[in-house]
Amino acid sequence: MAVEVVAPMPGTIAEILVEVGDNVRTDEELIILEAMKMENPIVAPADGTVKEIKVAEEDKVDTNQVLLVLE
Amino acid sequence: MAEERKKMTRAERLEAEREANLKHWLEQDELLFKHREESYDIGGQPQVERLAKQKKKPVRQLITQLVDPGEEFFEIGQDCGYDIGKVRLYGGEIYDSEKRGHIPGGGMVTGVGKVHGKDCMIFGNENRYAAGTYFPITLKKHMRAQAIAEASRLPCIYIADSGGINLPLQVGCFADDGHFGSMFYNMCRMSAMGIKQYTLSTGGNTAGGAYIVYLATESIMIEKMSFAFLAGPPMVKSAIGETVSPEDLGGAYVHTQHSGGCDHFVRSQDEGIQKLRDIMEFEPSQSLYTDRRETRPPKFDYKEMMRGTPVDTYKYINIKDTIKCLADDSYFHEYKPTYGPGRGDAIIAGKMWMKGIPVGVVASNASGVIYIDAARKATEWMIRCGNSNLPVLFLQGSPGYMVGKAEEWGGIGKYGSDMVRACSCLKSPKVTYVIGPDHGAANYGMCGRAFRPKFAFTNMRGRTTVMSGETAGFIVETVRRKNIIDKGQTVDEEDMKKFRQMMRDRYDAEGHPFYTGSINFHDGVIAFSEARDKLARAFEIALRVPVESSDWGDLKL
Repeated sequence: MAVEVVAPMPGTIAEILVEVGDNVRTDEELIILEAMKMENPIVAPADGTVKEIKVAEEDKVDTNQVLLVLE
Repeated sequence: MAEERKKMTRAERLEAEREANLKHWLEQDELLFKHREESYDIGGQPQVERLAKQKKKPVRQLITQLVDPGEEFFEIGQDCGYDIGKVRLYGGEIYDSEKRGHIPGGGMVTGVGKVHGKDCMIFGNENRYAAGTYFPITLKKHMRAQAIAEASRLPCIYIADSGGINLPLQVGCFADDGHFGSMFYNMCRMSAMGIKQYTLSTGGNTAGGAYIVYLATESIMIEKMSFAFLAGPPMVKSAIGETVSPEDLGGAYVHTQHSGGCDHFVRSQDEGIQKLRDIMEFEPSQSLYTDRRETRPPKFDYKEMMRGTPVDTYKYINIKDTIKCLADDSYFHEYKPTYGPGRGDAIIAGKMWMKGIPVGVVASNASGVIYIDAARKATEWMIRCGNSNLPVLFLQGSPGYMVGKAEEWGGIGKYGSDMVRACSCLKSPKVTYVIGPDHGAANYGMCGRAFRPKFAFTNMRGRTTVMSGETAGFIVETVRRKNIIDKGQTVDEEDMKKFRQMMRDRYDAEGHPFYTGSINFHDGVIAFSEARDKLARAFEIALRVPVESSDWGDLKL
């Protein structure tokens, strides 16, 4: 089942920590989102494999925008 | 920087960060221990020798003698008075002009110690500094200790050796609520509530200061060392022309044989301390109003907590790395762990056992910025803790509530106010430990000092100001720019840059634990290595009285 990982807040993608095909576990950091002058780690909501990354570093993103899809 | 980071794998980078964190916090706690050393050793050897000539010991030594062997003295407010001459409020010029700009310890020692197994609040005038006189900060500290004693119904023991109010600073000491008179007011009220007040006088107690002897449940004076009188020999001489020695005017024999103002005559400090212990032996034993079970050590030690705590106060933290080092067995029962991914987990709620005591937890997490989901969860959890009489530990590292249109429309103000209400109305004992940014309304919702936590502590990473220095610099600059432009003048960019930096520096300085501690905004800076023991001890003291049930008032929902 695919799980969409969304931005919890508007901000800028500071760093993408995973690549497509990586296996990740729950709570593992996937992306660093810079917002409110702070680095916010976006963590995996479930165990899975990174199927698709929909953003690039320095992209500006909105709340609830899909950043990455896990499978 | 970004380039450099990419060269390492993520795992390597995190490991390097963890080791850098560890090193940093070890150094910071070392700094804290050195800071404390100043109040332990105030005045140095010359003061110890001066006291020895009067057959006296430093007050800290007397406290060690008083407390049961092997029991730690739980000191409160030790950070008071440091560099107080440089502090802009409750300090500053009034101290500096009298060359009293640095009073490590604030002029007295206060804390909880066990005597014959019973917790009592111990007050000792610092007889190695300015004759134990009371400065405004000394009184603030004294009031705080009396308030803790009253809330937990702890017997009070005063080891009095004070020249009274420090005369050049009288304006900050004498007439207001919370000043010198309040010490006696509190003694009277507490004794009426059945909270015992015991005094050992080991020096001068002049004028109002003498009441600390007379108002006590039982008091002790030492031959040729303790004196209590409304006016000392020089004032008596000038007022009525009578020449009299201190011993004959208000010495121990006078008050134990003639005036009856004091109850026990002893010949030395050692005897006096023994007498206090004898008195405490009769005090009833105390209960612990909780369902305590056996202590289980955490699976991770404090160094793991240091590794998991970013050097930068404003960098995100995984607070579960802290909780696992505080909790018995590292076991944490989390409330709503899956609620509002990415937003709800700005606050982690749950419960754990700390040295066998069940404790609710409300902890800032990640960036600490509180979203609606997190605020709602925190409010729900505080209500649940209150309803089950569970004490609550607040781990505060939040810079504030989330801003912007989406959150305002969604009701962040309303849900934030619910948090503030819940934490105000929560009657179970609250203990706040600031472990990061502590700004704005988040200070309120996360049980800042104004919300009467039973104890408020910080670690070396805590920064308590209305906002971060960065934000304050920006806002004040914007206002200033507008004012200049409105007046039709041009902005001097160089001047503005300096101004911005000045604001940042000011906020950074004023939020530091040593600065906030100097004016008693918290009860102490707790090192990582002490956190578990001291927080558990704080709950133990707070649970000496039955937990009151909470009423929640007009929540918005």
